Amino acid sequence: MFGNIWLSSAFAVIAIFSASIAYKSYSDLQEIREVQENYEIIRDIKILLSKQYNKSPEDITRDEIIAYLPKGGNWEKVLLVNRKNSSTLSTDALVNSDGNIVLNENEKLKVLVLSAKQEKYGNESTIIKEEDIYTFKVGEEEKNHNYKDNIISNRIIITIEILDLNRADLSTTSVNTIIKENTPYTSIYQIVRKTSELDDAFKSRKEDYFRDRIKETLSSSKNRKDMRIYSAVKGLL
Amino acid sequence: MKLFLFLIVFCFTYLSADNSTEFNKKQELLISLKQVIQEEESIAKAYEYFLTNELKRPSSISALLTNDYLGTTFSSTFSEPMNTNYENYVLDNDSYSLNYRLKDNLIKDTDIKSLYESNIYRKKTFYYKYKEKNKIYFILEDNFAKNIYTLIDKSDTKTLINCGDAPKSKYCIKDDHMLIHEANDQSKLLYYYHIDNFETGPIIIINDASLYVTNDEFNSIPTGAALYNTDGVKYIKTSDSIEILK
Repeated sequence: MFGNIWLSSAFAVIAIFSASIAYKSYSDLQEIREVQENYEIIRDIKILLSKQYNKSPEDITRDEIIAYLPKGGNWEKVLLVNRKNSSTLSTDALVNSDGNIVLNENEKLKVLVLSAKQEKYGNESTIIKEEDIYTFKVGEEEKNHNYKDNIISNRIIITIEILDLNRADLSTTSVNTIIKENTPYTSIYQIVRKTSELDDAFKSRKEDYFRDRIKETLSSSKNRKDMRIYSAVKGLL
Repeated sequence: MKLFLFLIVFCFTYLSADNSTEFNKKQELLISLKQVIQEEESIAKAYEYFLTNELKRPSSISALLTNDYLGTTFSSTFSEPMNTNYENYVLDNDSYSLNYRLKDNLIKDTDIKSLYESNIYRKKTFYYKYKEKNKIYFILEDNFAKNIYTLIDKSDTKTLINCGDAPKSKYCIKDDHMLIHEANDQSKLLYYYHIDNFETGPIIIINDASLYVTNDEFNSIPTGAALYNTDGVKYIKTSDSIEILK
């Protein structure tokens, strides 16, 4: 049978064809597994950095991740969509500058797998599609109030320092400006939006909450510096 | 044949080594920025410790380059290649701050500038632009350090002066007691207290109760501190006033 050249050629073509299909399936599976692993790695790094630096995990940026990755090794590959030698962050980034995963809609299998992952966490809203690019926000499911409390406390301290620096020139207007520029709106979870409340009114209530927290911190402080600031701003806050 | 294989391997290695230059450069820059911010944090800690130890502000960064504070191996100047990106450390003695670290080439990199000015790696410092000047300010944490900072603020030498020494200051120290006067001539004493007792008292205050309302110095006394006038009458400091305790 195999003496027949045509039959042998046909079998050779079928064998090559089957081998290449099998290889393609195998490499697709590998890529899917890699993208899932990369997602988990990025997510874990974001959670670790958020605990270290009191920042919400979804706000950890790619630069902050790069500063954390060990030098050398293949760690940078988790940030790249393919592992060709010519891949760079500007051309083939899997992780964008905001620390979120971006995929072209042509990468159908990877998009499907990551969408399923986000749905598993109950986070359909964390997938954004713009033109042909899908963005998967990483770390949203790990948000909790601990980071927000720390962010608010830190902002109170810094705002008090800014008020002290401007102590000689304070007025109602300048204090209002300082408050508006420093209120951590997205971290103040203690103020809940009322039904049909407009954005401006909601923000204003958060500013009032922030003012009260500053007043409370200053009036209960035990040092000259803070009492001096309190005396200068209490009528203006 | 062996030479051919060697060349193939060499070219492959060379090309592999070259492919991550962009990432490596970025990573090195970010790590150097993190290191610089951590040094600024160390300077802030040393500054506060200096204040509480020496009861004065350090006159320049070199005052902190001793074993008691930053250590003798800490360098306030950058050598190559860091000096192309970063300004040397200069302490501003008018306020508790450092100069802005980034040079023009790094300021153009918006990601780096934004990371430097953010609070991600900062606990003891913060970036602020005051009167058009970019600076890195220190955050004092200890109550005693904050007290000393305000007490030496009015003195020309930024040092806690002994009462009677020249140049006279309205705030001076005598036998571990802080004396707060109405003016630099030290003619009228408003109140005094042991240097460790400011938070709770007892603080001895002048008998003239009208001054408790009109003189701003009394507003600096912390809420809850126990006060006695020179006749032994007890008062308490509230957040807004001094009230007699009946």
